[in-house]
Amino acid sequence: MILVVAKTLFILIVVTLLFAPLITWVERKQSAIMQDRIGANRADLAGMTFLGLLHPAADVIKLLSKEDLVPAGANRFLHALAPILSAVPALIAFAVIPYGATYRFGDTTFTLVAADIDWGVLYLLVIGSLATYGSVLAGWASRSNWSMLGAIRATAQMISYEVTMGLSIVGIFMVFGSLKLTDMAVAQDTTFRVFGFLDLFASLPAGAGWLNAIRLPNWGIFLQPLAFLLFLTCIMAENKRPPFDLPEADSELVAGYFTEYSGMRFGLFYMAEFIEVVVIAGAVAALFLGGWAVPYLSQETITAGVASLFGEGFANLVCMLIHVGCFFSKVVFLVWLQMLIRWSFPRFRYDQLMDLCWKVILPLSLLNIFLTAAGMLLAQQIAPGAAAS
Amino acid sequence: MEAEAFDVAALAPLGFVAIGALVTLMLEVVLSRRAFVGEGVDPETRLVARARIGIVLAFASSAAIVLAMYAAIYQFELGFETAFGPGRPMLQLDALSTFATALIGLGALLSVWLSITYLPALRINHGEYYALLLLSTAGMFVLVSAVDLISLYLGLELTSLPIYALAGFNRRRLRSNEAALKYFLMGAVASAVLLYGMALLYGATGHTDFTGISQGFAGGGGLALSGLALVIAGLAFKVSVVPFHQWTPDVYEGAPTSVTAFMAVTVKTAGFVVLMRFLVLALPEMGEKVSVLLGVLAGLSMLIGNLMAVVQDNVKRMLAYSAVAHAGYLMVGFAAGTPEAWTAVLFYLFVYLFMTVGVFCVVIALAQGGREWDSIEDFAGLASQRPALAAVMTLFLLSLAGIPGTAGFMAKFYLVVAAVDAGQIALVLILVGTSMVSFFYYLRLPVVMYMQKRRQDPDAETSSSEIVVLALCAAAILYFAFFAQADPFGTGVRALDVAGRAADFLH
Amino acid sequence: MSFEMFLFYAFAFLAVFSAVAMIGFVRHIVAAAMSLVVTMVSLAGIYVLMHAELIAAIQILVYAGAIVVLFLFVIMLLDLRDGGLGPAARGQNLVKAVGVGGTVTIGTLVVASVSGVFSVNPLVESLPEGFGEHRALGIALFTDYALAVELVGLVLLASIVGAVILAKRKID
Repeated sequence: MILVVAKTLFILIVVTLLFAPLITWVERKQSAIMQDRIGANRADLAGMTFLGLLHPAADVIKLLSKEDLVPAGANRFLHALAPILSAVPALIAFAVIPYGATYRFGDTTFTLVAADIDWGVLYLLVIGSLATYGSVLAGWASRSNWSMLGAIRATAQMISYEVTMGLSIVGIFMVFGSLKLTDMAVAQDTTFRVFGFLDLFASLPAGAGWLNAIRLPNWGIFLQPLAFLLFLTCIMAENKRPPFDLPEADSELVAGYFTEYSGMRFGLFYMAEFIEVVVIAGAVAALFLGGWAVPYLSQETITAGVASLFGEGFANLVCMLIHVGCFFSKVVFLVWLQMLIRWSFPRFRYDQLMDLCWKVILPLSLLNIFLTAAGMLLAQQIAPGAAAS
Repeated sequence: MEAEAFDVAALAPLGFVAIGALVTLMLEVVLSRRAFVGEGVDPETRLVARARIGIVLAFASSAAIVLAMYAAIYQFELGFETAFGPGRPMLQLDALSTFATALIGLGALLSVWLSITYLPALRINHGEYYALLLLSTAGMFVLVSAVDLISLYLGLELTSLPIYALAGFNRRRLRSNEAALKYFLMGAVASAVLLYGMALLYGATGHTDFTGISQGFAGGGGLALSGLALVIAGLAFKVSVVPFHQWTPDVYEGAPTSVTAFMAVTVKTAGFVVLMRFLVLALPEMGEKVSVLLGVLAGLSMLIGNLMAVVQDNVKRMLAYSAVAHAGYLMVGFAAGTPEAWTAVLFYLFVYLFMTVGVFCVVIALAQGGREWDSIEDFAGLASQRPALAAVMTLFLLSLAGIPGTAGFMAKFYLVVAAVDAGQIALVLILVGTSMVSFFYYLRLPVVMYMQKRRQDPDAETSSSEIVVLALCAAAILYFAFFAQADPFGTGVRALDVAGRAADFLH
Repeated sequence: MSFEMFLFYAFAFLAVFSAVAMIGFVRHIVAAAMSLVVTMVSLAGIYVLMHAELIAAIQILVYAGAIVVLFLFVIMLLDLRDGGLGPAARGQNLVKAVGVGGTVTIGTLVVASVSGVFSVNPLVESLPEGFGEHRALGIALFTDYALAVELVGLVLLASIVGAVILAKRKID
């Protein structure tokens, strides 16, 4: 029980207090770099700006001290409920994402994940679907045309991309044979022969044996490259950040569904968005980038290697630290990648957004499922454990 | 768990119509893309192209239905007997289901032929029509062979959903929209009632398959009984038995007439067949109580259907109430519940198909100028203008009324005999009495056609496809009036024997 | 009363209460939709108590996450702000909702207690291995119920074609 609470608190604290503020800073800096500006550097403490790292703190103080306005004619209850409904799913989504493997210390074993449920991936989809309510209710309850338009756009966009998001990762379920994120992470802690499919045709010609030595980590991104692209697109569209920010669309709708929010209620929407960036990074890392797995160094290798020098208990600890570090560096990389995308592409037009979802991603997802099934059938022909997809 | 191989041959009829639906759907897309290249096509060309596409699609769907019927008849002759479904039986392919499949196929085929000229006349010639019709037919094929609540429900939905859309196919006409909406809402409620009943049945017996339910039912119990009542209510809605008939007049009147004809014959057949199978398989021991319940429904339907039909002045509305009344007659057979009664019911459904399709075909033949000619005044003086049409209409109406010399009489006769044998004297009296009432409204139309003057000049002609349908229906009615049990041409097939074989699905 | 039973009654009360609230006494049509969400989520809770976790997840994903959101979408598109649910209509609706709900519930309870459902043992003594997990469900769907799955496909096709033909903007 204590362990569960500790794990939950750890992930909550890391994500909300460490990552989310940091990301606002990364976003400012990244945009500044990409737009050839100096960027956030005004907030200072006794003249020291710490590279603009004080800005997140200044944000919080500003948001907390602002007046909380509710527009006349708004539905007060739903208006107050909406930011909460927006923030809570973002906060609890990280529960199923494993940030470390299973470790044994003496008699106790524990897995570094807050909730190791059987249908972890579905949990992510469920949470994603509930997150819609925040924006929908915010838009409706505000009684403002900007908000309403934003909410309508948000609904259509999120519903559409939810469907394709679910379909795009079916290939991953098939390859790893599980919906459990911890299982998937363990499965990704190995490598596979890139040219394994050549076995199907004939034995390799002499001198080409080195082909067999080329191995890649058994990661989702290598097994399911198409699914990776599709999933990343969909999940970013779910988060409604540029280039998918039609519900907010500053140039048309002021701030879309949260136009009529101020103070910390606005802050909650803002925070939810940044936490979702981390959640996206975590989910993509767990599904496609091997989660906590270190490429080419499986858990046994690390543990055995360190244990031969320093003893087993210490080896487990080291291994755990390496894994957690590995996971969070992947998360940081993916967060940065999202920032890069966010500041590189212009906003979609609404019809383009829908066309992309229904006419591009949906058929490609179905194609991916079909190809994966064919690939797995082939892989069964070759040998158990050989390459899939 | 090893999945058994699918017995594809068993599902041939279902497969033919389902694939036919998909092909029709795609064919429409491909053909209309070729026909409407470029935006600047003028409406006239578009209309002509649509008419051509419509003929192609009608031909394709006819082919699918004919293949399905052929397969069904072949299975029937083979004495096909197999439970279909990998692992657990979902569908039972036997004489009853193949008989009903062929019957429904015939109804669908005639409806397709009715539509060929009717759709362009109403300017609703869209390719989806045929696809929806085929999908609904597929649903009925499932329904008539369902031996599990799951396949029953899915079959029912697959039957109904396309018909909701088909009822509203004439979007320019307010009544058509009303019909679709009304049918959909009421149908949704009926579905919910049916599902609730199924949930209770499953909760009480722990089974969803009919035989399992009959075993679980052995203990009796109120829960199962109320589940049963709700399931019967849900199915009674589909076959428009009083008191679940309120949708019938509005939908029959509002829907395009070809759709009305389609659902009047096929849905009724499918609904009664599945009800028959459900009652016989799931409740072999419930005879007494259920037959009282069914008897009440039968009596109410006959009374209300016939009395309400008298006061209608729209032909389609009148026929709707007549359909309610006929559902009541059929329910008399259900109340009787003997093998002879099942035979009579099946034979009745067979004859009913020809009379109903024929009547609606006449209504269709009158439609012109983008509107229906379906009020009773519209029939005035028809005999002088289009005597053949008036003659066959009279024949169909006489048959519906059950006047000797028509197949309708023979159908009613067998039903009455079976009911008397089973001791349902009260119901038989109601049947005979209300049939007398029905003479009044059925014979009103011939009176109008032959004895009144036409006010307007119709310039519509009976198209060749309609002539085929009318001739077929009229011939069938005359033939079975005299040879229901005989075989004058030495084909070795006697209609009543066929129905008897189908009704003998229990052994 | 065990904790599970307590949870069951809590969820059951919540489900019924918000279902009645949806028809009966909420002021705004959006609030009605939100009551429906509560009903859906409570049902999911009951499914979890029945060890059907996957069904619970799908219940939330599909009903709360998609269908009710679509309701909201339509409500907003049609801009049904005060929804035409005047106090009189609401009162009537409440009477109807309580009437229908009460009748069905009481009827079921009476029938169930008369038939002795409450006293008999559950039909299934112990749950089979892997009950309610996605693996067991998937295998069942693609073996025993393969035909049903295919039929559902046809049903969905029919409804899509029907919806498109009825709702298409342009007809010629």
